[in-house]
Amino acid sequence: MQVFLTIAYIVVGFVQLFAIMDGLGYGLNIGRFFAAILALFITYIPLVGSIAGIYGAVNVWDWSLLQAAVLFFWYVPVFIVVLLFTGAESLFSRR
Amino acid sequence: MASYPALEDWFSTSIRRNRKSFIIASVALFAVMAVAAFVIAWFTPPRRDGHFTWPFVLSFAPFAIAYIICSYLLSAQRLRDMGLTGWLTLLWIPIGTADTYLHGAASLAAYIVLCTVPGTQGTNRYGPDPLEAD
Repeated sequence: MQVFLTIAYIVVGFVQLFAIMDGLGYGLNIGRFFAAILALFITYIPLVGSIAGIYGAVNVWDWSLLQAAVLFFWYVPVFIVVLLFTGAESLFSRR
Repeated sequence: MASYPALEDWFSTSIRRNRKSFIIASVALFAVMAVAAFVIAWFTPPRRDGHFTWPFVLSFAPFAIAYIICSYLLSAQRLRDMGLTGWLTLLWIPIGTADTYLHGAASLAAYIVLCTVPGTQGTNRYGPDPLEAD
């Protein structure tokens, strides 16, 4: 299970990196090179990276707020599901 | 008697996995893939002609590769619990390449075997009984 969460983390992080890059370029009016360097630092900061990703996706890519929030805060529903699944599993794991 | 934790050690090449743990792990693996496919398709919808776009393929490929490897390893864990070598899981390759009907029937038969045949009681040459683990 952890492997799949790691893959999701990397794939979403990659999308988030480009969203932040475009968002920084749009918001701060800086070039792509500096935006890319800044984005590399921001992407994997929890919460900040997600919010910056949403900003870029909504303003530059014209995504809906819901769509962007679901993608960049993906770990919230996923961890709720994992918690529920783990709880259900422990409930049925004893005969 | 406890069951082996279903959400742990999906990629282990050494453990034994009991029936209940295998079934729960298989369902969870399928659910993970379904959610991944649904979410990725939501963000990268297929073209009008029904073909998937490159962003979909590139995003979904890591999940698909991990899924295939994981399916083989879960089957191998179950086979080891039956006292058989995990290498028998490579039988999925001819099953997977068979034509549609044979593939479906053989897959179903293989899953029924993996889900119903009890493991060997006590320690076997592949490790301790997963039902006796705390």
